[in-house]
Amino acid sequence: MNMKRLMRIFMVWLVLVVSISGVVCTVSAADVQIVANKNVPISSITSDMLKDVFLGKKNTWDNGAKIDFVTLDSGDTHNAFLQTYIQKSAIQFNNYWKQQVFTGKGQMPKTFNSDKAMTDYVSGSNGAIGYVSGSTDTGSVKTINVK
Amino acid sequence: MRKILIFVAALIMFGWGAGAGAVEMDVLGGVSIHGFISQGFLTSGEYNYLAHNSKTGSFEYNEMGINFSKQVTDKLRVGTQIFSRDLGDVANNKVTIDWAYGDYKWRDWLGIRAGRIKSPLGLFNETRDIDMLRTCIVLPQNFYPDLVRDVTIALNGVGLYGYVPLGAAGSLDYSGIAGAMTVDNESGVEKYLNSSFGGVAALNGDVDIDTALTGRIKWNTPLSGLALSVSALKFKANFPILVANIISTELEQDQFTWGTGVEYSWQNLALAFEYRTTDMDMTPSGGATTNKKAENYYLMASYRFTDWFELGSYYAIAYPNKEDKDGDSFKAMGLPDHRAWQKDLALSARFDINSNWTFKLEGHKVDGTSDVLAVDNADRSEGDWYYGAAKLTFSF
Repeated sequence: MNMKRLMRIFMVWLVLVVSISGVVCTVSAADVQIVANKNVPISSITSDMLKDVFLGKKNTWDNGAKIDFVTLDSGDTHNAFLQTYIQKSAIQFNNYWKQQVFTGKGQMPKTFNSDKAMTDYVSGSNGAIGYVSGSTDTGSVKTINVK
Repeated sequence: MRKILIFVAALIMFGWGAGAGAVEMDVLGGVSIHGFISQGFLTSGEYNYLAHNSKTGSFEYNEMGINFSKQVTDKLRVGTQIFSRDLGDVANNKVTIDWAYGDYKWRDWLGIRAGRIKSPLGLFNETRDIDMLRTCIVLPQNFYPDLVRDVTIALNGVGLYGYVPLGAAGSLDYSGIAGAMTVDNESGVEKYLNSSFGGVAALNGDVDIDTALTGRIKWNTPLSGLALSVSALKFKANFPILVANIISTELEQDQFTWGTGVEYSWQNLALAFEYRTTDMDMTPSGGATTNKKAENYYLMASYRFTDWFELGSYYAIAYPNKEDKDGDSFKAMGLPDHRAWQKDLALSARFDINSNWTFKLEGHKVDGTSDVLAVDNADRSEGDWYYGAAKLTFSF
């Protein structure tokens, strides 16, 4: 009896969500480049490892250097990166890091408000990795291929 | 101390200005400061619930915390969070150390923490005090009871944790802690116990809990957004009891709790399900041991419609005694059978005013009274009842 009620509630939710999601879910497909400091010892990265890096689960590169991941604070490139590689919306990503902060497990990532500020930081910081829009000049940093 | 905390929190939150971000590194020698203040309102129809005065509406419902952390070296972090809350006539904004530990992450797959560490029991125990991290205001009380929060919230000890990639099989997160548990009677534990004793006995001193063990393993499955977890808590507690205001004795409680959790997120939809069972042996001094097994589960869903609006709902079912789900033992004593269960259907609306401010409204339709306290409710004959909550949170 209880399980039947539970299932009914679940089904109502599912119908509601599916009917609405087709209307409101629009994910930007903006072009994104993954960039890293030239000292970072990789030229390509798996999508799983990229996700681990930006969720703070992988903290060191294979050469032992500390990973310093940084993010944009908003915008299409930010949203597309999170949706494509982290499988989270900007709000979910922010909430994830707040959970880390308020349980003592981590610090909020450094954020930048422009591609230029991002590449300037990444180019001057050992172990840094970030992302910028496809049209950004990446001459001062290393472009990382996502496998 | 309480005034100092409130003053510091208010200074930081409002002195830096609304819309302010956190006080980040490099401002204070690499120390990050984050905090939150939540002020809630509870109201209920038939029963006083959570707050002793909820029937008339209660603002005695708040949480506030401020944390300081620093990455000392590439592998070592230290930090602490000071916390205070009020819930009706318990807790009363006493200032406590919520967590305080050093964290040495040797490898991605192995780190060690020492100090006061939040217990990873279930999906929400570690973050239960921080309102803006979820959609609902009141978490399912059969899993995260606010009155006995102290019993599960944290251990003072040592923990191991890590992250293990499994290739095509996904990855594992694990965390285990061994330590002592501290219980403040004024946090709600004394009220809850005395109410469950039904006036026959009362807590008569500090609860003593030796080494407790808790842990969680979470499997992040290859299906994006789907995670399965198992968590457990084991402890043995000694309660000093005064029976009939005359006889001083002790009650030993040997408890083992374990549960499973399922989380799934897809775009703006988040689903969560938990099942938990608790096995308790209760032994009065010189008396025979009695056993009770509780069974609980809930299904929770939330959906974010826009940047500022989210709806959520859950249905939680509690059976404090899984051998008597129909309440036959209560009926045999001439009491209502609905004291054997509590089934809570909640609907929540969350409004994110900006990145710092969140406002929520919530309604609950409840069947059963297993968690309705006798001490706050002389008459518990009605089986169907309602309660509601509103909460405004500022965080940075």
